[in-house]
Formats: sequence, C-alpha cells, structure tokens
Amino acid sequence: MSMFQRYQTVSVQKTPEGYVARGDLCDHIYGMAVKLAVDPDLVVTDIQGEMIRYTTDRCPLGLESLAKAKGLNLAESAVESRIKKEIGRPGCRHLATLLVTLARCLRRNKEFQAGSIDGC
Amino acid sequence: MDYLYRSTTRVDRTSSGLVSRCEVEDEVFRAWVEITVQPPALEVVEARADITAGGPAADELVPTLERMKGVRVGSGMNKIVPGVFQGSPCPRLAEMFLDAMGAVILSLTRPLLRDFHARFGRPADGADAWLVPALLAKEGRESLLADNPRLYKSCVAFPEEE
Repeated sequence: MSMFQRYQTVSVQKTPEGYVARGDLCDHIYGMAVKLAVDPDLVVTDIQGEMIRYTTDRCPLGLESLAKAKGLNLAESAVESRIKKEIGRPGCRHLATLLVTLARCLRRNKEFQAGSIDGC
Repeated sequence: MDYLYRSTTRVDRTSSGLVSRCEVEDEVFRAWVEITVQPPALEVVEARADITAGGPAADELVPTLERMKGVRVGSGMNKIVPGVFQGSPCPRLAEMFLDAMGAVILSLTRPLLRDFHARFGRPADGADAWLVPALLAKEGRESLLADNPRLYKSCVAFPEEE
C-alpha cells in the first residue's frame, strides 16, 4: 500500500481570445480544480476554482485568493514565486501548486504550438 | 484539446527508506524521476531518472543526479534543487524532483492529519459532507497548530488572527 499518491492533470485549448485551461489535483488528502482563461500573451483574464476535498473548515476560504491571479502574466519568469507568495500563503498552498502547474503547461503549450520546444 | 499533461507522484516505504517517484507525460515529453530518502533526516541517498521522450539519454543525466545525493527534503529544497539542475541537459527534471520531495512531506503529514481528524473531525457542511467526512474546525486547528507551530501563517487555515 502506498504512503501517498498525487495526480495532476491539465488540459489546454486555444480560443479566439487566447487560451483556456483546466487543472485537477487529486491526492490522498486533497482534491481541487482550477479553470482559467488567458489572453494570447498568457495574462490571466478569468479564473475559477473548486475545493473538492480539504482538511479544515477554513480551506474553502483559500479560493478567494485566486482572484489575485487576474492580471498576472503567466509567461513571466518570476510568476511562480508570486503565485506561491500572493496566492499560496494567504490562501491555499495546494491551489497555488496547481496554478503553477497550469502556468507551466500554458507556457509549454505555446512553445509546443510554435514548434520551439524539445521537451526539456 | 491542444495540449494534455499528466503527472503521478507516489511514495512507498521500502527496506531502503522512503521511495518517491514522479512520472510526467505531455505532448512532447515523457519522463520519471525517483528518490530514496532516509528518515529522520530525509536526506536523498539515491536519485534516478529517465527521459523516454523529448530529452537527452539517461547517461547524460548521471552527473546531475549525483549532485542530488545529500540534498534534504525540507526547507531550502525549493532553491537548492533548481540550482542543482541549472545548466543540466534537462532543467525540467528539477520540477519533478521537487514534486517527489514534496510528496515525501505529504506522506508524513497524512497519518498526522488522520489522527487529528479522528480526534477532532466533523463532517463538512452541506453538499461537501459526502466527500469530506472529517475536517478540523477551530478547536482541531488550534490543537494541530500547537503541535506544529511551523504551520502558523502558512495558509488560510492557520491565520495570524481569526
């Protein structure tokens, strides 16, 4: 029997306005989902989250901090530390983890579509 | 869909220590990393990896993987691990090693939470109750915080003031 397992999945779709993406995180402790829309430069224009499984009565309040992601440019190199500091710490660190994964996938999708990515 | 990503991270207790493995797959990349860490210091005693699509051959990774030995799971790893992989043939593996290391921490947190939920837990409100049969309200959170002061101000559940 495993001590712990975590799954994350992300899907990204191009739209006329930019891209939309959905991420899901599921593990032995937590379950949550985030969907967001970004413009062609990967600036967040809309974001919604859902807490599915959590550990304390205050955890769902972490969704409020997701609103701070609006206007963030996910293409910027410093965005991951901003997400952890501005969304993770005052909100939910696991939602921030999922948002960082979404940001990486949006960047990689853009590079993948442009043919300028080798995987690493 | 234009792009799909999937990652799986799993921690097992073995005779060599705790083994944490992270596997990732997307449109152009497929790889796994694995660490063996020994409690109580949670020092990495072995690091392995293979990229089966979209990256260099395994033997090119060997010098970087050697540098992972001795890194400890815990504070500081978020800066140390990217530093280890800076200039390596596949810096992306740093993300995967950090996922594997974070899972080790969560694997040790899981029984702690199970204990606190057994002692203080109550079902979530309303429609969430069927998936969240035990969560910590104020008394449980305060008790968990008293035993684990590092949680203070770590997230919305353990605020400065309530």
